[in-house]
Amino acid sequence: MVTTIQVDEKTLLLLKKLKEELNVSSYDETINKIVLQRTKEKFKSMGGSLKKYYKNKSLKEVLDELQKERRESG
Amino acid sequence: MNYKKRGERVGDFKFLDSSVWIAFIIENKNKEIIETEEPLALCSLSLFEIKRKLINDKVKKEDIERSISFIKNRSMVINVDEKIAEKAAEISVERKVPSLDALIYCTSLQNEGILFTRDNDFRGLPLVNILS
Repeated sequence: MVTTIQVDEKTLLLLKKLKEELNVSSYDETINKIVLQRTKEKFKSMGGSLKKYYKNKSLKEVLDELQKERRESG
Repeated sequence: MNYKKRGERVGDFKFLDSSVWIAFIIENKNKEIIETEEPLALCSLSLFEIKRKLINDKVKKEDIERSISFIKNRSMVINVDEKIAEKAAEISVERKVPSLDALIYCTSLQNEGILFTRDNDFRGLPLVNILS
């Protein structure tokens, strides 16, 4: 399914430039690539970010607790 | 009802269970799934579970908010609807699966997805991928 979005001329020019830079074939692909790149960069640093709270507990212990809570929920 | 986005089925997405997200934010596990360009989905109840776990474990409020916001941004969050609730009740009783597990599992099932989890209680259920 395709749909239409409104952008102003400045945004269109910017998209055209990005489309060339990214070497992709459509605006859809351009937008997708930018969003995904942003997501990837933003989230890359999140892996292991809460480790400091779990120095005295192994991942297995944390996940066992989660499983126990689930079982107790009925 | 299946959640549709621009003609896609949610089945095109991988459903990640709470356990997978927790393993990622604590130990950087499963990054081969999360740090990709693949679309991911998540049951809204998993957000409840993850946030409750982090609050119970005394994680600072700002770190909880950052983690939850990152999970929500990376996933399409699917709410439990009446169909999911009814199917989950059947599966929970028939297969002796805890309520929350059944609801999370059925959210993935009803949307034709594959549930990725680190919880062995899901073992034996169809369309589940147990990660280690």
